[in-house]
Amino acid sequence: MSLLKVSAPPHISTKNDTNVIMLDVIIALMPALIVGLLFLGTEQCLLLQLVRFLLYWLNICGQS
Amino acid sequence: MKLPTTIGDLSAVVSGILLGFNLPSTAPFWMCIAGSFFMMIIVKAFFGGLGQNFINPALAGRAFLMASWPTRMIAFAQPFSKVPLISKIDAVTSPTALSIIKNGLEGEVPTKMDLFLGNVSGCIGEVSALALLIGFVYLLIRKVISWRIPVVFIGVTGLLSYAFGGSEGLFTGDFLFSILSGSLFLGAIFMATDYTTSPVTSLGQYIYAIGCGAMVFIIRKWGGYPEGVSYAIMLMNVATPLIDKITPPKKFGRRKA
Repeated sequence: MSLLKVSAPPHISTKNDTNVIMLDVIIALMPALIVGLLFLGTEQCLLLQLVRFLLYWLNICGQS
Repeated sequence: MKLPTTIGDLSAVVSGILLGFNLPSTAPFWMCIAGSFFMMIIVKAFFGGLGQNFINPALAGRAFLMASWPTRMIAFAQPFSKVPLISKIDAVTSPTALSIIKNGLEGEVPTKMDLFLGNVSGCIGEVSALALLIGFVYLLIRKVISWRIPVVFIGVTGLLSYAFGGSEGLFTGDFLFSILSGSLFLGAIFMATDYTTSPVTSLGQYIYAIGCGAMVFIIRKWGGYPEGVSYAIMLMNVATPLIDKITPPKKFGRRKA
């Protein structure tokens, strides 16, 4: 999805798109996720459940 | 509805992880479902999807859950208390460092090293400042976010707590403790920097970050909640259009009038 990005000029054109940025954010969140898993225990699987639920829900929205 | 599927842009995954980070590890799964429904449908989709929401979806989801199930939202598990996934036994819970101080609860205040590494009770994502800092450095290297909002935000909260947060007059507060405790790092690095809900220009970002830091300090010091990062960011999210209005970007290619 390429949108016109609103930011202060001057603008530089790169191949970065929303999903590239979001993938970077996901990678950046991983250390905290691992520490949370190690320190707070197995109930962290809820997090995975949440992600799975979101993917499932958005697929339904997209198809209908 | 003939709308394109936007699952591929991964923003929903990021929102989902951030909402998960904002929950205590004892939260039941239906709270995740309720929170993500509110977050994705009401806060994001109703306002036009990615880039159109006026407050951070993950924080709005957290605020929704906090208002709906306040006791479940503060049932923080103690670190290293083994909790099986499906169990009738309640997890061993303990108050966070901030609520011990704020409400005078029983419990040992964790050391700064424990707060830094994450050996404390709290939401899933907020416990370890070190892990969040690693993520911050990665985002800086990849130039996904600029240093301005996180650094100014954390700095202002720390300085205000140092200057006015102490019990023995001015400049007796604890700078490190105030920035390491609570979800300040999580909020400042991953939530306040959301492109959609933060100002465009660098001057606007300074104003926004100073506002966030001041609001966190005010809520922690005088508010009813021990932790105010989420509400501080949401309040400044709402102020973002106004900040953008008073700090317009420079116009290029125009002669000075």
